[in-house]
Amino acid sequence: MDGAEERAFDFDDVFVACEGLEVTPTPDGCVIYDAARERVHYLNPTAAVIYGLCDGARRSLRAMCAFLAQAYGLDQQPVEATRDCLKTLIAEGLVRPCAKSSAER
Amino acid sequence: MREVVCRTLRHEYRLVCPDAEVANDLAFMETKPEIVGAALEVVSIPVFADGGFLRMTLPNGALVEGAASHLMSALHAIVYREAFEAISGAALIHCVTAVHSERPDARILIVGAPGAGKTTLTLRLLSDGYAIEGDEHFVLGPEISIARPRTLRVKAGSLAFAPKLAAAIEASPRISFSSGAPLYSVSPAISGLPWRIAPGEVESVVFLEANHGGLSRIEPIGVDEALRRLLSETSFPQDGVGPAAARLRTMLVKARRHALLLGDLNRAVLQLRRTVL
Repeated sequence: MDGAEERAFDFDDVFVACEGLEVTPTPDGCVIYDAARERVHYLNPTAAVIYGLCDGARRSLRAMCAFLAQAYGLDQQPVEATRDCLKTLIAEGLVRPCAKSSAER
Repeated sequence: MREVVCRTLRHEYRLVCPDAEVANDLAFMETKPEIVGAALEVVSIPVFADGGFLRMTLPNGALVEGAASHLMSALHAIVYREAFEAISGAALIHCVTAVHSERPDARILIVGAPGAGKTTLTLRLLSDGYAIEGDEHFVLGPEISIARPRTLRVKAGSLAFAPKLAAAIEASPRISFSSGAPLYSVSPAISGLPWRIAPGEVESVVFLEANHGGLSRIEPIGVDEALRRLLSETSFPQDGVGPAAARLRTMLVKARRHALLLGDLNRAVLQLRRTVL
């Protein structure tokens, strides 16, 4: 364990989807199959959006929260909810923190 | 010569028997629904009687020799394997598939663990104007979804719950458990309706829970709870687990979902009529 699950993420952390996962959309979110662990995950629509934002474009937590606030028309950025969701996605092996480049630090 | 016909979603196996006695011994395997839209490949399998034993050669060239039960086990293995191979990428849901005769597109899957009362309820539905497409698996595929052809398997203890059908059940082909108790292979056509299997959507999924001797109660359940219950009753293809699981969830999102605490049968059927069909 690299401690990612235990520490609070800072706004500049970036995340990327883990490799080898099979993602299939459903009318109410998506199903992700982890063949290596033989596990099926269901993500609700919001979790599916957050998972989709971990698409290799190196979006930071800050960028994700800004995107979600705009997309859902929120007055405040959903920082805690996004953090919690990312923690779950990481704990389930669907997403991993991505090393920040020196330029990003 | 007499043939025992056993249809799958891909084949029509014809066991060509040397006489009526052998055909009677193998009749438990007879499965003859009309399968809408299916172009079945006919496979004739001659059966020979030789010194008290039966002999047949399977399509893969394997020679099977022994008692009738041995031959039926071999054919059953083929039929069962075909259920997984018939539709590429399909998930196999362990359930009864029923439709009401007045609404043949209103397909209902009845799911329950062993002992929950699937056979008892199925016989009662059969007595009450419902048609049964299959009593073992529903094949949920990428493009086609359809019940796997299989007769009802009825133990003697279930006869009391279907008095109108008891005589027809007792006249159905049977095998015997080691205890001597019979297990009947019952065509859904005994209700008087033709046994017809059509591909199509699922309108309702009902999860049975046993409440033997008590009242019946039906209540809606959410998609997550339905999926949790269904996963334990579903076999997934070796390739394409993710898409198959997504299809399962999609089906549940679209379908009506209920849990039926199954006690009194009259009340159960009444509640099903009011809420599901």
